[in-house]
Amino acid sequence: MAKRSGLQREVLKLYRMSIRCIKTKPPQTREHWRSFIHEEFGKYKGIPKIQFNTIEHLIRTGYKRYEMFSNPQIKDIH
Amino acid sequence: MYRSFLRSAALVRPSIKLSQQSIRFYVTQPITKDEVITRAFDALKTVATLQESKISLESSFQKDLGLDSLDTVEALVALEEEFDLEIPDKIADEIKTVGEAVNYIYEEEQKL
Amino acid sequence: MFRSILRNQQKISLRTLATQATEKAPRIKKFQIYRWNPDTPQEQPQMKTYEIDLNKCGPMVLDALLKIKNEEDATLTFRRSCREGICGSCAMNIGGKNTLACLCRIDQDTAKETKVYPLPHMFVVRDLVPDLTHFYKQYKSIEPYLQREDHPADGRENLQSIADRAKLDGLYECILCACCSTSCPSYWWNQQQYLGPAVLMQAYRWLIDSRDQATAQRKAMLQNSMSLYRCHTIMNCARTCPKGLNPGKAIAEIKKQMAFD
Repeated sequence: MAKRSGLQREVLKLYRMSIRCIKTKPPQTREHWRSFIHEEFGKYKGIPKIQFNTIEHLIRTGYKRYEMFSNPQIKDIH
Repeated sequence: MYRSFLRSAALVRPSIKLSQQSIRFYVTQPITKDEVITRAFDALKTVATLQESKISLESSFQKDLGLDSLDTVEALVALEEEFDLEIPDKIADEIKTVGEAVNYIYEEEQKL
Repeated sequence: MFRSILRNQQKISLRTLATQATEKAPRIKKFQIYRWNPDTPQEQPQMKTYEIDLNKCGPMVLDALLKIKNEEDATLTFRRSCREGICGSCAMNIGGKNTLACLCRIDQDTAKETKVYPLPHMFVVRDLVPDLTHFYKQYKSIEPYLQREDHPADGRENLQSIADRAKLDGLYECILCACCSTSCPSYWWNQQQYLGPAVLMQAYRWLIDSRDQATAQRKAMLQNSMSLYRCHTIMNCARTCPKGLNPGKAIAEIKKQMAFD
């Protein structure tokens, strides 16, 4: 496989942070979080990798939402 | 003199152990590679996309197990949780096969 | 008698005719407006053209934007509030210049198109709405409030001489619209570290306030290569400021004060 671009590594980093964050949520809601993350990342799987501005925007908003959802007071998601 | 001190120390010790159950005076057995492998395989089985797959040390996450890059990340996080460690991003990006992941974890466990 | 009444009626009807005759030919002006929707991030940003009859529109660009939003395209998104240049919400790039849409007159030349963009070099939230989170964070970082160790003797006010108060003129009027910061090339390239003209002018405003006692800490905060010294006196800030202020001069004054420390 070709070496990953910086942008692709950024996406993986965000994904890794999100998946790691599941562990901080109550056990009975973890599956909700997992499917939520899958769904959100899955939405944009088809974006061509040269659309930098789109991907950069998605990463940026992704981090914002990560910050919001990683708050321990938010326990569940649908 | 010295000997008697030793003996008394030996006498005292069990009582400490009894009163403070939570403190461990022994060193844990270093984890064996086989143990790492079995635990890693079990952890990987919990990942949804890997439940049906045949996992071996040689299998590459993407080529043999058919995962995409995101699923690979998920598999590695499952391993992190099982062994209670965090694989740094740089190393995680380089890991391609199950064997590489197991080797990394084994080496980290030795350092503890 | 009867005739004269008739004549009067004729006069009245003539008058209505006269008002109809004053109706002017429509003056169609084209506006090209930057459009981008975050819900469909795969679609690239585009310029959309809207036509406005200047005879049926107020004089300012904000009037035109509101007319477009009301009558043509309700999805057009922009910030606005006071429509008189005191809130700073409607800052955008109109005809190549950062300004407030509510203070910017529509160019009456209908042959030319007016282009409207969001503030340059800022992340876009949608259409003409820029993301100012970082700008506000920087403003917060300079602690823009009065800092004192002691309380006023009479327990009511911190008094200030008229001369000391006069020093704040030309500084306190800033409405933080971010027009100046986003026109500054230095701010474009070093947005993360350089504070930018708007924030630095406020830093200066608190530095020279005779009632503030944290001057030393405030200066210490700016004493590094990035926060303040990325200003290379390009002076786009003073040129673009819709309130006619001069942030560049304020930055120069801070540099002068720090040089003498």
